[in-house]
Amino acid sequence: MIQRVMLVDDDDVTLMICKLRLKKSNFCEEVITAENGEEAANYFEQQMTLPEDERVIPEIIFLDINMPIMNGWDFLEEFEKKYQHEFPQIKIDILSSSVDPKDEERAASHPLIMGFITKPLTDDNLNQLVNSETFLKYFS
Amino acid sequence: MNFTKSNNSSILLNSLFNNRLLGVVIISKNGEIMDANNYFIEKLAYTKEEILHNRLINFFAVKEEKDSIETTFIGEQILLKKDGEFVGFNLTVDLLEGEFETHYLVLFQQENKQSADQFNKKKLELYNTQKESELNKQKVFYETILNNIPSDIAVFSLEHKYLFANLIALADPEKRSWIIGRDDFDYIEKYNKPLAIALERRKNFERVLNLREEFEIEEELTLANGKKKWVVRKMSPVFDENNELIFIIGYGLDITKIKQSENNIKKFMLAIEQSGASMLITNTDGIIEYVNPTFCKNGGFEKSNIIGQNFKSIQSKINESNVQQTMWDMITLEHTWKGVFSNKRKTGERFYEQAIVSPVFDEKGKKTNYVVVNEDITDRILFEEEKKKLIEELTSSYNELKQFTYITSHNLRAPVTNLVGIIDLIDLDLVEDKTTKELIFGFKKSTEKLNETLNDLIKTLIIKENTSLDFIRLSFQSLFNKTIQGIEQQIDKAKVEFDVNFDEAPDCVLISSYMESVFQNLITNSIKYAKPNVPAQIKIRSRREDGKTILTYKDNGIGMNLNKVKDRVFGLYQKFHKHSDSKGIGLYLVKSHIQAMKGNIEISSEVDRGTSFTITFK
Repeated sequence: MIQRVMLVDDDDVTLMICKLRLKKSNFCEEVITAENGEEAANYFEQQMTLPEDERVIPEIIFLDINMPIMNGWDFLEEFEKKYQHEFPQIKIDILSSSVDPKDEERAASHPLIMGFITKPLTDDNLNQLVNSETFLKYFS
Repeated sequence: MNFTKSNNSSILLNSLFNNRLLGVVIISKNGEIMDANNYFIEKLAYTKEEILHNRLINFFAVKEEKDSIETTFIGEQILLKKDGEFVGFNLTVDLLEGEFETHYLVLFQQENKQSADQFNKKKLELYNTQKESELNKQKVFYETILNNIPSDIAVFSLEHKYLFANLIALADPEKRSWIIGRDDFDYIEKYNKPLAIALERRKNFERVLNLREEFEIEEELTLANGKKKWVVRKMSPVFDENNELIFIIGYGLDITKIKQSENNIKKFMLAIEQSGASMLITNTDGIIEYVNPTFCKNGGFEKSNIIGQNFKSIQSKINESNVQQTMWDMITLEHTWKGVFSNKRKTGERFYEQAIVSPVFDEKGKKTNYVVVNEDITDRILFEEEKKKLIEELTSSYNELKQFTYITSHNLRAPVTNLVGIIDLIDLDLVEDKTTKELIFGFKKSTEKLNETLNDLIKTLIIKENTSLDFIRLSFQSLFNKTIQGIEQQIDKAKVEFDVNFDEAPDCVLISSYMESVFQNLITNSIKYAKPNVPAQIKIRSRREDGKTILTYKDNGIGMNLNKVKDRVFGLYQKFHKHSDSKGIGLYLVKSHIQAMKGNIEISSEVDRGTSFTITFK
């Protein structure tokens, strides 16, 4: 099982559903939530100040695109600039209800993004991740 | 040189010169008279000045020069007096050897009067015949001229009788000689012509006779062959030296050709004058030579104010745009210029003209004029402007609507996905109350339907909106493989049998996501509408035809009666089966996608036999 998942979404119902889904699918043990990109960035900023063994870092981030203050793309830019070299093991998946095909294209060409999941997050989505090369090791 | 003084035989010469019975003339070896005595001069009734330095032979009645002076001026000769009478002499000639030059001495002894008179009489007869034949010659000469002048000419006596008529006036020589001494009334009586012509001519003749001045009239005649002929008739009085009227000449000039071209010009003029297009002609400097009434009307001009003005200045007064410079450059380059003038009427009202300015060349290729033809297109322009405004308004409200649709679909989508997520998480087995269970089941079904409908609507919106998606040359096989990968579960479950071959046309320029969607919709339809308990068989082929790529898709499903559904088959929310999954959007999406890829789709179907599609890409 994966240790920790970070959910970044401004919709608290979505956060609630995702948490339940992750739990029901036995995907991870712990969920960290952030209500927008800025909050997520602040989280990493704060983790940077801690000694390495005290840091609480997710293995995967489910990132929404349309959010207030700092949207998904802004967060990715920030993350790439400041934290990626520090936490290179973190994988990022877009989890969005976006209907704009340009978002999907952009996600596909972004080096940090592993996948694009259209809401809602389903058991199938999680199963695919579980069976992917990256995460298989956590579930064996 | 004075012989009488310088010559040695001066005494002899003096006595000869003073002789009153003998004519003495000294001539040079060229026959020029150097000196003559009074007797000779008086006999011929000339003065000395008139005789000196003339050639002697010129005074002879028969001017016959022989080999030498000695043989010419010898024997009986008749000389011509100044008054035209003849006088006879007996001539002798002697050589005079001078100091510097050689001269001849010619002596004239008068003959008896009788022989000269006889000679005179004989010569006179000869002279008269000569004169008569010369007059005759002259007459023929003038008649020939008159007959060859290309207009009819007649000379009338003061009694209006014909004195002469030329070949054009009367071609028949018999008639021509008959008419002399007769008049038009005789002619009309004899040849049975309308009297009116003669009466008219008589009237005009009398007018000339009385007013003693020229008179001109245009006659329109209808010829035997029905053709029209126009003649200008002119009558001119002819006076003698005492200003007495002696006769009247009538001319007639055939002006049919001039008249015809005049009529043609008149026709063109009327067309130009009454044309709805405004027209204007300038000279090569742009000075206006002609404007038609429409031009004046459109611009609110007076014709008289505009003739002689420069077209450029007139145009710049009323023209708002700066097209004239371009126009003038063009036409000085000898090209036709076309453009639109935006003008202002005198009233300040704006009007638009479609203008064509053309240089006009004469037959030698020299530019003579410019012709400007303007058509008032104000209505059209105003209509265009209104249309443009309307389109702008429509575009703006369309954009608003689009924005609204986007926002709605996005804002709807977020809560709907949450609903789907919640449904996904509800474990019906844990619900004990039966009614609640049923309600949750209904909630689940409605939510799924809501989600699907919303997804389809969003897809439709995306197709309609995204015209900028990239066209790339794509392999049908790889598109097909990618599609079936996405719906593998469905395909496996339905046990679909594929027979796919793209060898004849392996690729085409397409939009990847659209073509995948087309395949997906067609395949899922084939699965949905397969015959119960018969696995779907799908046959796909591609081929090239006339530079087009044609894709054929065929299944063995339940098919449909196209006669009933016809045009609606590709419409939005058209359902043709009572199938639980049917939402009536699949074929609409297929058609929208194909059209977006500049293609075309046709369907044929038969109940219980299956459905086939032919997709054509340019």
